[in-house]
Amino acid sequence: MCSSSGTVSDAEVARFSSFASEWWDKKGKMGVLHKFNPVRLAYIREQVCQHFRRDPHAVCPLEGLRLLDIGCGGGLLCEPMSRLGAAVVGVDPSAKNIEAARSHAAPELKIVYHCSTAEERLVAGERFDIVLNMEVVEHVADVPLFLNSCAAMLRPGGMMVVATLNRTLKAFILAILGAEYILGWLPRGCHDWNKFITPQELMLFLSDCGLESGHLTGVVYHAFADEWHLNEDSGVNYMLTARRAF
Amino acid sequence: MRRIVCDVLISGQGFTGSALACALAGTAGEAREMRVVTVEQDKQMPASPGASVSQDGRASALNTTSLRLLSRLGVEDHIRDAIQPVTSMQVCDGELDEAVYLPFLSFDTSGDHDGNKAIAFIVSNSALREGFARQLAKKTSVTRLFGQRIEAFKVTNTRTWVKLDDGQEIEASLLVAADGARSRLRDLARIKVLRRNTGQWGLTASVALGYEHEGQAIQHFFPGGPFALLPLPGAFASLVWTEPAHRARCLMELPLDALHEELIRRSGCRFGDIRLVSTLQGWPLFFQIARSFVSERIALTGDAAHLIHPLAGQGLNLALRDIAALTDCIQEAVCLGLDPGDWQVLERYQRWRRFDTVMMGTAMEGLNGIFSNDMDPIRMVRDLGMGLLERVPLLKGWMMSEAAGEVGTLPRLLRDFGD
Repeated sequence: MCSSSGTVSDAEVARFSSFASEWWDKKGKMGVLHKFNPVRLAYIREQVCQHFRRDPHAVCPLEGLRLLDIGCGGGLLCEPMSRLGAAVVGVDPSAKNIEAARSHAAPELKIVYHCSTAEERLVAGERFDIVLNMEVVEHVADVPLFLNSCAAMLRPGGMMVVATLNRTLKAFILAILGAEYILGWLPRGCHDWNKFITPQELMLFLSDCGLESGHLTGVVYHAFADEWHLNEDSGVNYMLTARRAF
Repeated sequence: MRRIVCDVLISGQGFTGSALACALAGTAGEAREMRVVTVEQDKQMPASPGASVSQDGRASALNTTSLRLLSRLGVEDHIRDAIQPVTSMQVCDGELDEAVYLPFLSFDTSGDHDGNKAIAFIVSNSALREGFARQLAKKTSVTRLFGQRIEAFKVTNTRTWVKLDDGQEIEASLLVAADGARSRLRDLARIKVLRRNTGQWGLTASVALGYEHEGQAIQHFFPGGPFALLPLPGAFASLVWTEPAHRARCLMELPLDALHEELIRRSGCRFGDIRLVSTLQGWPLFFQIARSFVSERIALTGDAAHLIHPLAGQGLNLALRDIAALTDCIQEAVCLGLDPGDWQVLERYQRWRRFDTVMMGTAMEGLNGIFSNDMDPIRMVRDLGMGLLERVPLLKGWMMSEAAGEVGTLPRLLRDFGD
């Protein structure tokens, strides 16, 4: 484990390190995240192309953009983002996760992985056009401080995409009782309902960091098709974009 | 020898493999060009331009959606003159000693308000092969290797490493088996098949007819199995004939005159004189389906995944549906930056195709079982059922659209966009 600081929760890092070897096992503990991946990749692609006025039909629409994936885990987002043309930096406080990510990525992808934290990258002077903050805020110890560090690394005109879980009764039933206890999709104790944050709280935190919130969408699971889709209902999983003014 | 690096390696360059290579290599800048390598065991066939009748006597039936796919892939342009639309079809339930076979079911689209609609399209295999070869020759991102086979392969977490028998090494993200019913890649991947010998043989040949066929196909169900003549351009037809194994062997040894007489008798003299213009080929028919259509970084397509009874000419149509579905799954993944050999791509492909295939296979087996039978009660029930079908327009319409491949969720390459 790397030096931990204010925003990193040691217990969370230990938990994620314990299944670091399973990040790319589609039938393992991370299977549900792989199922979830296409919908968030499509959303990021669409939002980024719109924000930076890129041609969505291009082979590498993200060419020339520097992207940070904070809390990158095994690199499930880093690899596709790199294939779409972005210069990707993946950061995770767990050394085991970074090791898993590095050993999985094909060398031609040229992804830079750091076992580090948002605060450390900020101090190191890194700046980005895009910061991906996907399924991370519900695991950090100090959300405002964490978001501040992420926001400070955004170049003027840059954008952040945040995905997390809403603090609603429905989220408790579906994401915790359903996904962890009944379906066994996620390891028990993976999520703590008290750490979930509502879109309103998130927007407030982001505006405190000087970011302007953009598009909000819910993500729901369709059991029959076994697929996730974007939906107006942000009662459980949701994604939000935010931009830094020029 | 330099190692070849590609996105997709296709084992086999028959119709299935060629169609996939054409689809992935992209059409008119619409899709991302993928690097494709095809590995074919046989030597490259010499070109035989303009042949509307195959020397090997084989032809294929295409439904409306399959023809749409070939047109999107740019293959139809090369084979337009070789395609014969079937505008009417007569299905008879015959006993050999009956003087006249009464059609109990007939499909006719020639008088349809939508005049250009056909029941099916028949094209000789040599014309289709030529069409694919010409289209593939235009694709710069496709590397075609002939006279070689896959000796071994290894799957890592990001790629597959393939070794050919001449020592050539290829690195690919996804391997596709399009190498037929005895797929080598499927065997190397240790995917088992469910296989049932039908006890029947399929006999095929190209024949010249005494009269013009005017787009008419006939299918006569005899106790030994169905006998079909499918029209080809000019006064030619493709013979597809099923018989029990021992009878098929006898038929193949008949002197030509006797064989011609047999053909005329079985066709109910509908086309007058019938003469063979190719050799008569025969082979045992199997019903076969792979236990899984996918494995780590491998997808099975066409005959490598499933082999069904040729009675309704659905084999190639099923294969092309596999190709269209797999292309959709791959292109959507690539568009999101996902690896084309990703497990999710394969899982989605399998979910999409396996149900459809099992349904079709079971239906063909069922039909064959009902028809290749001479028990009176079964004959009565099937004639009654077909008579009913003939009189219920809705049911018949559904059956025709199913035969045209219009039922179910269609991959983009097969959809009718009104173009």
